Amino acid sequence: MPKPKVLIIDDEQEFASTLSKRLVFRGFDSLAVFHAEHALSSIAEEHPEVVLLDLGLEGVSGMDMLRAIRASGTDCVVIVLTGVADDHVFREAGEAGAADVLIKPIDIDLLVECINRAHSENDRKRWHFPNRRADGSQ
Amino acid sequence: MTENAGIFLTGGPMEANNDRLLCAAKVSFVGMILESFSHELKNHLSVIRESNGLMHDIMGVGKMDKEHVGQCREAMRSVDRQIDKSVSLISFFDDFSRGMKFAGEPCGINEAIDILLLLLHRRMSQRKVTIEKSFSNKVRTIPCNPIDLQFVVFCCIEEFMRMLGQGDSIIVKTMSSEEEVTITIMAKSHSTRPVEGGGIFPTLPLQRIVEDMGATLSRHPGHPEIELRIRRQT
Repeated sequence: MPKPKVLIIDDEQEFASTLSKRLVFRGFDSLAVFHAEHALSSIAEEHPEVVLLDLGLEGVSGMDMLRAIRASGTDCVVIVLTGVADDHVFREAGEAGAADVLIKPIDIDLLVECINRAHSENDRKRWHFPNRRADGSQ
Repeated sequence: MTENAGIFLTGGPMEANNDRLLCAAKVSFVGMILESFSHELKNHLSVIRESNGLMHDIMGVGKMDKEHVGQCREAMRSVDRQIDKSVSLISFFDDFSRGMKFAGEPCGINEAIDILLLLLHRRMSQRKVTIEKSFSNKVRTIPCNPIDLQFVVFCCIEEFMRMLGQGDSIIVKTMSSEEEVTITIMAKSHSTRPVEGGGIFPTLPLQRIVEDMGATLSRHPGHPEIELRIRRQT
């Protein structure tokens, strides 16, 4: 299976751009956006299959951004990145449609495993239910 | 006997309840500062880990070209920057902790507020609210517990933060006269909306701390402005 296109949404520019370079080294087509206000338009233009979303964005709640991505109708996988290891965050992110939650600082091998797993699960669902919408309804 | 153990031994049930509220509010305040500190530190460590990882990735390729060398240099500079930022953050936190540890010593008003504002930087920037400082250099030390002062200023800032948004700012001013030091906290907003229920902490504990400081807290009706006056002789 070809590697998915990954979009990183994180206003910590050094972190996002370095992580993006590391994913490119691992064969992913990866890019990063640093401003929350550009996130939805980048998803619409770039059609990433996996989005890595930081929860601590400036000016907007990451959880609201996650809901906005899900509401936009895209069927990309969203993996949440957060500095807070909190059960409440895990639960809320799961309910809002995140495929997984990873705690910063991130282990790159774990991230790659997580991206591949989430992408292949999403791909399988798409294969079995081609008319399925992003919110899970038919 | 520590301060926290002592407050449960004073007065009747009503006062004991107020003491518990006060203690809980202070612990909550320190918790918020700790959370903000650890979050910011984790961000610096995350960049260090990724920069270090990128250098490993590049070296793993084997023969490095010019672009790889440039990327390695940039990654090393990034590690340096993040270490510098971490060291500054830890220094501010050290100063904050020292204020709690030596609570009985004279307090530098400007310094105590400055440390608080630096530790709140992330909290403010997440809301895209900026902070403006205007500290008088005539404000010297005063016999006042720094953690109490920081708690009161924090409560005032948080009260305004709830009605501010992107592009708005909070102004913190200090002034000094022979009798008192005045700290003014003002909100400057494009579209200030009223806030229901006041600040994040119950009013009673806040009022109690202000009284213990020998200070008064006043709000300007119709203006998003709070003034804290601390008498020099307490």
